[in-house]
Amino acid sequence: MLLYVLRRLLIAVPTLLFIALVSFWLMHIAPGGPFDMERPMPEVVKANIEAKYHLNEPFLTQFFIYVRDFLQGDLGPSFVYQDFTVTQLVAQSWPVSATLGVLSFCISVPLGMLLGTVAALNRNSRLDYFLMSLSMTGVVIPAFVLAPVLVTIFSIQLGWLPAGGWEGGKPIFLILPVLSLAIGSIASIARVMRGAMIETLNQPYIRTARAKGLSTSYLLFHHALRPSLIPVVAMLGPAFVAVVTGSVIIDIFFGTGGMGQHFVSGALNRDYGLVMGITLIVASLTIFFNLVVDLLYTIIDPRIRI
Amino acid sequence: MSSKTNARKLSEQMASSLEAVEGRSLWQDAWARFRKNRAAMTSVCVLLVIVVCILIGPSLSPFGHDDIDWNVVSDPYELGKPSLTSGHYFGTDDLGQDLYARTMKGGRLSIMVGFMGALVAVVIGTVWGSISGYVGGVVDSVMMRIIEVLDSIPFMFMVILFVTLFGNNIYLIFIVIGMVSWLGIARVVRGVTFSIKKREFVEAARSIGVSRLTIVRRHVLPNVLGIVMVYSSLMVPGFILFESFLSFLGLGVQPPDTSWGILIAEGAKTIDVALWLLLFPSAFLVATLFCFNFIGDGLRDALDPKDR
Amino acid sequence: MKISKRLMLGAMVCTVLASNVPAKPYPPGTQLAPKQEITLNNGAEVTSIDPAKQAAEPAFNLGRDLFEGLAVQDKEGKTLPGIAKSWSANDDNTVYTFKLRRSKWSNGDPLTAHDFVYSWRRLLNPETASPYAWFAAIPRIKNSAKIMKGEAGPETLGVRAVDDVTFEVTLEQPVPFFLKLITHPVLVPVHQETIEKYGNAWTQPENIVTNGAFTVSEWKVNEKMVLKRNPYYWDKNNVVLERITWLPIGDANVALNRYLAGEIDQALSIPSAQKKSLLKKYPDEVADASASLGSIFYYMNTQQGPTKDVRVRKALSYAINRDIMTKAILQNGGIPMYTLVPPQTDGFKPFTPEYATWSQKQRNEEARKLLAEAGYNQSNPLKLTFTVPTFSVDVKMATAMVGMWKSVLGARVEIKQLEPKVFYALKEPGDIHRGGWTADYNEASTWLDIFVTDGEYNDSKYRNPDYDQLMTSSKTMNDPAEAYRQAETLLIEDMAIIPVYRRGNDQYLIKPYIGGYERTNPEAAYYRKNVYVKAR
Repeated sequence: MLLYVLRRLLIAVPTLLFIALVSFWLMHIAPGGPFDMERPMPEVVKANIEAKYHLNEPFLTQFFIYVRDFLQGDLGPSFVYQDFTVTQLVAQSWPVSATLGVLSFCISVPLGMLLGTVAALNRNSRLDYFLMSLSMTGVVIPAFVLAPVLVTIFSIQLGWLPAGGWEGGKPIFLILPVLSLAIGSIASIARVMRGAMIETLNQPYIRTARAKGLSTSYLLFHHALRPSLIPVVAMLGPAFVAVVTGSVIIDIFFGTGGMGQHFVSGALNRDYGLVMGITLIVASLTIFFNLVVDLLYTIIDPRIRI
Repeated sequence: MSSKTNARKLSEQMASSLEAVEGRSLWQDAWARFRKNRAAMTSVCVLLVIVVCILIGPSLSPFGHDDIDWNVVSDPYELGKPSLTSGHYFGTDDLGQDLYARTMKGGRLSIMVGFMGALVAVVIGTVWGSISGYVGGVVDSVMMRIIEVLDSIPFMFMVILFVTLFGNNIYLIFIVIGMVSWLGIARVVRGVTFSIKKREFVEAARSIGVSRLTIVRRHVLPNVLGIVMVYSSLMVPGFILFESFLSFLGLGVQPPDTSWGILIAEGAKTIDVALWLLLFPSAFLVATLFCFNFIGDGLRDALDPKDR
Repeated sequence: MKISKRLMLGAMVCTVLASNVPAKPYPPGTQLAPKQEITLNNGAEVTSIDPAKQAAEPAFNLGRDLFEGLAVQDKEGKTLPGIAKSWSANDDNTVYTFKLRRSKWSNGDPLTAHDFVYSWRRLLNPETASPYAWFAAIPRIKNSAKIMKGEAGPETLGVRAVDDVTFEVTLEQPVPFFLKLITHPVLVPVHQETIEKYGNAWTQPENIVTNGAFTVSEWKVNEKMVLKRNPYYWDKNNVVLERITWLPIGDANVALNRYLAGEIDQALSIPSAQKKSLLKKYPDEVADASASLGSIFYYMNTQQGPTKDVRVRKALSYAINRDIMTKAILQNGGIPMYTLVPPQTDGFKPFTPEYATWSQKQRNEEARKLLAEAGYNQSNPLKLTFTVPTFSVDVKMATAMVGMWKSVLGARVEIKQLEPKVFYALKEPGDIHRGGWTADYNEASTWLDIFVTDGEYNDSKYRNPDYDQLMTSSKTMNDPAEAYRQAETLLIEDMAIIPVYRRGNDQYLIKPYIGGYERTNPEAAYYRKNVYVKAR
């Protein structure tokens, strides 16, 4: 087990290096640079700036400089937010995204599993159809429609909740962003859970247990829940990363200042430093969560060996 | 009538070979199950109606999707309300462009984009997965490591970079998205291939000297097809939604071309003054996505071997 | 001639001094709220608050509150003394001497002429890599261009601290608008000790030292920046606001929602869809913003392709219905333009081209005629490409313009929308592409200099020796108004651009309890030191 974890972590190093190289290369061949502006700078000035950020060096030299600094724990300067280093920007935005992600998960995972289980137990009944239609609606409504609608209702019409801001994560500022993030994932978790639960409930051992007259709730908690968790757990890892970084719409609509917006605006502004930094962080997160999910499998189902 | 006799002839021919018998019973069985699934069948019908709409719909409107109605422009939210008499059945947007024509035009793009992305993902994923699963050994472990590496690349970022590289050519973008989202399919296909490889009929084929490639093509792929169909029917709505997300970020299609995603992103800005701009395209989008999801569920129920 | 100029300058100093009695920003008898705090939207996150690294308006907007230069502007755009109490020029207007007031930095250090010398040298030093360094080269401060290119050391710059309170600037040649430039936020002093101590991190809230009315207390990128009152500001007794929270919201709909929810005190750019109903719904929150010196025009390639033909260019320009563009499509108070320079520019005598006086019907007919002459017809339609950045307003305008060309001229114009960074980096932007200009200073040459043959921003590739000649000679004229007028006439007769509109008086929403925030400055240069919160 320990050996397995070590092996996976060892593979992570070349993986990260490869990702860094590919992103670095793609970013540099993309047209337009961080210092191309609405009103172009005179050539002299632009040359000065590019020299300062090593942009005039050959590609591989630039990459080498980046990796060297990275190994010393320096994510480099932000090319667009010039008063900050990438490390500072990440330190500012990471708690925001992590809080939003964790909270929306705390809501969506139990709720999604509950809805999915209820639907599965009442398969093909009216309740099932109702719950599944509801969750499908949750899946198909884009967040950029949901967020302004929530703001219009709760902030402008009713005046109960703030329409945006973060303010260090005060609870009242969290409600709408977390809700907007959670609704989509509740729905998709419910759908996966329903499918998995139906499959489990059709297994011979469950049928046998049922035939023996065990109560539904006993069956559920002692036999059916565990195996049904596997597909749900499988989607949690990538989903968590997606929530953390993909929260760009939440950041745009609620002005929360999370990593999602840094990520997208960094790519659009050609903020090479910021984009590389966040890419590598997200890649590390993904590798980490994939590992956690694989380990979770063995806990849920002891038959799975790694 | 003739099609029925044709089908019978065909099935007689197919009955002469062993795996075809298996194939036929699998598909017939699945079709019977699928037909009984009311939600899925309704979805197929609705989806067909939508497809017919977006194919012939534009010719039923006096306006082209990029024509500006100069009579409306001065006060689009009053003069551009949906009306049968003005010819703007769904109303117009703030530039006086006909929403009906644009919804139809946008539908073509959204659905096409969903299919193209799914097609690319399915083709690459299936080929990769079946080779990896069937060949096994070192090849398998190398191929799976590659998937692991690709899996940790931030997908969104790649797509944004590709968009800037290729410009806003939406088809190219979706080929790219398809190319980075085949990982899941490849994994599943590999698993299925792995188990099929061990089945008796494959062993038999191998023992009589059928080549590897032929085995993969004739035995493995048809068996994998079911799971791939389920997967791809669920991928199409995902891609359609992703296109709308890209459009929201301004990375979608080029004007005057349009998509449901763009129309909805624009409509969401004017909920308070022109609800129709959000409602009509959303109705089409939601209906389409519902249909794909129900069809996907129906296919899963129908094809799931464990349920048989 | 020289005498008259000196007299003029003398008169200017006098008027300036007259209006320089520091005064409370609110009328007597105003009830002030106990909490002097406001929240505003800056429209985008700023790239830097280091004066030498700023390059665009959202940053300059904050800069005006954080740092104060030699002079500032009043609400009408007139130059007022800032850190400089008064100034004078030598006989040939090449050496300017500024007398500074005794003032302090936000850490209590005294501010001297040496701080200006350090800051201006730093701005031009290639090592600083300032994106706006060229601004100091516009007035031809001695050696500025050479320093920028690295051909001379920054210490050779024509600036000098005669003593602690006397700052002297030497120009290479007289530049009539020099005094209009000194209010710009990149020409402010900076605190040398802080910069040398903290390097790049000197603008962090815990390190920064400013000399303006406010200083920074908190900055979370893409969330907010909080400014608090500078206790050492020279005019601190007349600054009322204690705290300003700046939000970087780019999406106009989001900003509007925050305003409607009562979280922002001012909604500047109201989406056109909501504008009418909102102005009606909140009549006591409507305020006027007067026209700033900005205009939108479109470049046409005058050297290649179909737009090489002046008849095609004229046809394209005539066919645009500018009334529809401004009144219906933009609804931002824009005023139709048929020429380049906004007529309210200081000392400018505008010229009215003939086509501006026609009706749109006449213009359309003339456009069709010109295009037919140029050899285009139904079987050989005009085909062009039109490049715009992906900003929604640009795409919207382009869509409308293409619609007009289609219905009036039968032209097939293909829109290419490009991500902003790609658009800016484009070397060959096709037949037509989006242009536009915001005045650097209130004088016509900021506009007309664009189109000289080697002009950095001459994206129309307009080449006209007569035009170049006029612009060169205007530089040393006492009153260049006539030369400017002739140059603009040439430019419009050749239709090197499609002028569309300039910014006009616009309406916006502001909470009625905010006072002192009249948006009347023609360069949109605002100072929050004048703003106060009335008791509700």
